[in-house]
Amino acid sequence: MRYAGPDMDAVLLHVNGEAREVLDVSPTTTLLEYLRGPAGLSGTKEGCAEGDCGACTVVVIDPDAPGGPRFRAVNSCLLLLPLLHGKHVLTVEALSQHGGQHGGQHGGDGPGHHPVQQALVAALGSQCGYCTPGVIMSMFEACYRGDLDAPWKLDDQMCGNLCRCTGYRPIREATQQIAGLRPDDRFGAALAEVGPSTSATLRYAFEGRGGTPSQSFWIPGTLSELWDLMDAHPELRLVVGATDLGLDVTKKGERFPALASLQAIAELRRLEHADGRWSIGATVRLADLEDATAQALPPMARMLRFFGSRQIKNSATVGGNLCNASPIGDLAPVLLALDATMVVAGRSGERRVPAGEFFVSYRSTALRPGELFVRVELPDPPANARVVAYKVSKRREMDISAVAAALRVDVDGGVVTAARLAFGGMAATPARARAVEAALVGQPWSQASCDAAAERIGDDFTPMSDHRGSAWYRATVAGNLVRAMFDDTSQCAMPGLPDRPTSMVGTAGSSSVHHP
Amino acid sequence: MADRKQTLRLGFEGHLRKVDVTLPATEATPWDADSKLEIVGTEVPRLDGHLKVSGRAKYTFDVALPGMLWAAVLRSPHPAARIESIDVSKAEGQPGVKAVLAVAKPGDTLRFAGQDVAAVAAERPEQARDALALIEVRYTPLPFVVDTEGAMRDKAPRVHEAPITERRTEGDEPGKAKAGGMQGNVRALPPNERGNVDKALRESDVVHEATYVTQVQTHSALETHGVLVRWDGDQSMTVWASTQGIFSVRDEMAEVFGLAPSKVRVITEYLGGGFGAKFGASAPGSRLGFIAGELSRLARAPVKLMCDRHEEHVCTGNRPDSRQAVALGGRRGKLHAIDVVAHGTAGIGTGAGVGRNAFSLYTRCPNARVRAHDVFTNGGPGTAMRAPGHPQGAFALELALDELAAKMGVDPLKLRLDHDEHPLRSMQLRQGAERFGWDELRKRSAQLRSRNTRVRKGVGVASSLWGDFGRANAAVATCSVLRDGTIELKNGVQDIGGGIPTVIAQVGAEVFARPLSTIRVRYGDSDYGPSVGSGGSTTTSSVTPAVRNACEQARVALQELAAKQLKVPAGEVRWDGDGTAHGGGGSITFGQLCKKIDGEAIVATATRPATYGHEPMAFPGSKFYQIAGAQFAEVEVDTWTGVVRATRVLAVHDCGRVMNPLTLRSQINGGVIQGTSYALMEERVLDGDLGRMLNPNLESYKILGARDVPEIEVMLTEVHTGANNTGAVGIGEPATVPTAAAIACAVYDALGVPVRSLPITPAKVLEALGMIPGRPA
Repeated sequence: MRYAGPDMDAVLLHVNGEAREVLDVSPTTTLLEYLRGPAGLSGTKEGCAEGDCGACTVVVIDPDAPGGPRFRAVNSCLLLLPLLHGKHVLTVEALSQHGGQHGGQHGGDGPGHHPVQQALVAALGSQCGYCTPGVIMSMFEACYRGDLDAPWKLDDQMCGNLCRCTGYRPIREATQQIAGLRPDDRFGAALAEVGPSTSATLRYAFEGRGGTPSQSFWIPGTLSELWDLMDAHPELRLVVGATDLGLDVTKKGERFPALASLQAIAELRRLEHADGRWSIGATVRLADLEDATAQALPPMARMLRFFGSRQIKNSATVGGNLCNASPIGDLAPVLLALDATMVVAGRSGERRVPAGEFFVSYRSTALRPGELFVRVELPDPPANARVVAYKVSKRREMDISAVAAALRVDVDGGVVTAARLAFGGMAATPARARAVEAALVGQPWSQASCDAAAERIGDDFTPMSDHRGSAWYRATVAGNLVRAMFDDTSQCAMPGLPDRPTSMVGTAGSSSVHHP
Repeated sequence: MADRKQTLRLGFEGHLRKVDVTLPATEATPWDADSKLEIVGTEVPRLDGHLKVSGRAKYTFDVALPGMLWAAVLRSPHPAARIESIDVSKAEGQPGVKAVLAVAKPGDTLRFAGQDVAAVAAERPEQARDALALIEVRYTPLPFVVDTEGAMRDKAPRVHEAPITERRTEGDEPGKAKAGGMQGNVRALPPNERGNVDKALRESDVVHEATYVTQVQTHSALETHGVLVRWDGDQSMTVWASTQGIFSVRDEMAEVFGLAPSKVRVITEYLGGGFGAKFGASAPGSRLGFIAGELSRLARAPVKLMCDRHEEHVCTGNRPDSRQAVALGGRRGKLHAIDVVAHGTAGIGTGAGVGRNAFSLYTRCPNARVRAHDVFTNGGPGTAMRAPGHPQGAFALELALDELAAKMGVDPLKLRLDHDEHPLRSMQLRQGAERFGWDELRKRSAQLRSRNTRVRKGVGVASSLWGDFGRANAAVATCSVLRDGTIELKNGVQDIGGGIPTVIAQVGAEVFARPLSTIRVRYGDSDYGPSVGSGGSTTTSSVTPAVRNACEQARVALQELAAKQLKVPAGEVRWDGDGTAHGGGGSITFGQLCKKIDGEAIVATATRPATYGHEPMAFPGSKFYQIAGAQFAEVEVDTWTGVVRATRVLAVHDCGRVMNPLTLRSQINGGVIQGTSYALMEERVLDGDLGRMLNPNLESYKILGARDVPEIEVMLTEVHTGANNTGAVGIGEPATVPTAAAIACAVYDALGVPVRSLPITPAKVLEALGMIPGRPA
């Protein structure tokens, strides 16, 4: 479906089943601002406008998700309105059959409620109720998911909704009731009606007036259209999930003059695993990467579990995470350990960059002007590899790591033949611990070798102190993770995470680990 | 009419006794242990649940009026500065801008980064924010200090030149004495002492001395502070406010704008949390009410001012930090002396005390002294936050007690039981320990420690005390029995989330023996009659007795009407379980009877008297009932990374009569969750060089998330207090007092070394262990 006009397109979206055309608003207007303002839907709340609290959660139908169209709970406070072009948005108001007819304190007793609403009322999941609409929409996604088959998945589904009053336990109970229910209702029907891909392209121009700048927003359908845009607009900024760029808009008041979304370029969202190799496109959503790697590549899935909330993982992309080149950037250590290759492209063709050369310095990558990161490729770890990933932070989810690590050794005949130990949070860029690696290679694979190698961590890194941890703490933990690697891979060469949260950032095992 | 005597059966299970009380003539006979109630005390789901899950509950942030403008506030970038000049003229002509206001004036001193400087009202929020950038202010930066210890030094910059008056709200504990004078940035709070502590410490055979540190916590309600002001002519206004004290908003706006309080109507249909920071029209660090009201007056249009998350952290209040030097003396296995010297900062504000725990909990310790001090710093002002002072005080006292117990070689639980004379709390500690498995779990911790395992487990216990400060004559409730059989109950109380409207409806349904569906509760609007703020854990105990008195009085009138209809004396009318009146062989249903009402309704209005009982024990130093509680916590610690996880909390609480077990458990869950969050995560970080908050967001100011919540078990120990006619007392605050302390004690049990600083971060755990944990060869 293409919504093209002769000169300029309008943003066309469906809100709660109703088609809406948006013409005269800035393209850096967030979906939340649009919903609560012009759309007159105040059920969706603003709690932080930074994607941290989940009060603004709405559901968007993603027509391009692997396996077919699906509902995704997302933070509407970060999504820029044009990113919803050609999409269907559902807010809390859509759920009740009679929603919006009554107001005030005595507006009805709930007939016509959706099962998620009934479940939350029955579990007493609201106290002040301000987080509730967002909770409802996260539960809504849960209700139509077919893969919530483990306790941690329920936790993961709901971890992006902060509640300050009381609600987590009743919310969990209510979610358990409705997870995977997939009622045969108008929402399921709507999902079935969405075509496999709308690939809606867009050329949207907003004419500034009275001191506000003019802004443009494009959704190109092909890479060659993108090259044209990049040539014509050197100031062009690329965006897909807006989980990072959206913060510049909501917190710093940035009004980007030229933005382009990569969402409609099909080749960028390919996620393939064949013949022992992974190819992960730049606009693959983190939630989909997590699903794909849960069994097949546990170190990746381990890092993604606590990476961000469900809402963030539903929006954020692999390319966005890697290209902002944060010194912590949780994915980067995994790519370094797994010997990944970054593929970048420009008008003149593709170029391959080893992951270790991609992160050049603090928040800077090897991308040249006019180039785009298009995918990352990596081989499956060999059969003799042991790989484990760690993310150490104060709170489990949605917390920036004090230390992130992905540790891999190849072991032949009981001897370490290769080691790739990569850390985030220890230096200006994600980096490998070469001295520790050297101390391990050639040694017998044993706890003693790990203990000895861990002592070398100071040769590799001089971490900094900040409010997430002191230099001493970071170095201590990094060394301890090297020690933990032996234990944590003793039962399983590539351990996943336990089903229930524990204090352990280490093993998949229980707390029975001890060393008498 | 004369007071009357009444005998009630009061106390708690196993400790019930008959007590004579004197009641005002108009007071309903209090429900006591012998009362058989049908609806009060049952699990009635929250009446507004359906509105909340469908997005139809309207919060202040959601209210939109025709022609409404949005305000934004320019805030000081400097922690201390003098304003040299301020020029708002360039903002005035900006697109959409309708009014501009210089809040600060040349010559004014700004004392924290985030203080009000100027404000704009515009048609759209982004227009207001854009216009702020065009306001020209010249500042002369002044020396400042943002850390508590630095502020205590002799040569530290002075935060206030003159003594300042205490800012008190309904969230503060009532009845504190006056504070002492200021020395530098330090101001002594009223001390408490019994016995002779210095002598007792000299006499002790074991002395434990250490300093305990707690952090600044922000309230972080999900809905930020905000007001919407609409002038209705020159002399009256309507205010929508995200407030936990509708009448405190009314009074502030009336005072600021010189209006009669009756000319200020305040509406809070729904409120997204408050936790102590939302009293009055303004925030503790920002004159929101004045700014919105003045901009509205200038622009002649309604003005909405909502704080963003940054402002919410910086200028809307916080729980002050503390440094508590604790000395405990033990003598012959008993606690002989408690000495606490506390310094804390509420920024430029007051109220950094450390609660009642150290002085009033272990009252069998003969010698106790608490000397607390406010230390002024250039930070946003603190304010009441859920049990002001108590979680800080509990943390220091209870962890120190465990350290002393270890030195004396006694079980920490036994040490507590030996020195707590509250009969109910003693029972809570004993029953809780049994259910929790205290003895076995303590043995397990010791085993894991001795085996030097990587993952340790530990358990801790801490106690809670609070008073029933339910207020007399503050809430005025109206009961109207309408001709159509509806019972309408009105009071201007706001629902902070505790569920007071549901409980009000239960009281009405109980008195009239009518189904809940026939009760209509009107609340959240000053037009519905005076009420209390949601602070001090007083809402239910202040409002429900007034509601009950109004209902009982209306019921007397209804009974007289029934008597007339049945042609019997009023005393012979009997009511059955569905509200049908019987007498003289005849009967009349509730619906039929209501149709006989002369006029539209039977209306009665009532309040509640001062408290008249306190079984089994009063709050130290007052006639108020003492609320007792205890919590047991279990933690798991990874000694290699320092990550702590609270795995289980058993919360044993008293809240007088259990009005509704669902809403009660909900509040206890909330108290435990906030306490766990305080123990492990939350911390406001101010940059010492810039004097600004480094984490004014919810990304790096962490509050507990769904995955971090421990298993929470709630044990309720119901008490018939005789304090008021429904027997309700509060729970909001008692439920959060001991959580962080119990978790800290559990971490100590797990590690064998204490972490004496909150929050207990992974880094602090490893630092407490003092070394890279070695594994035995």
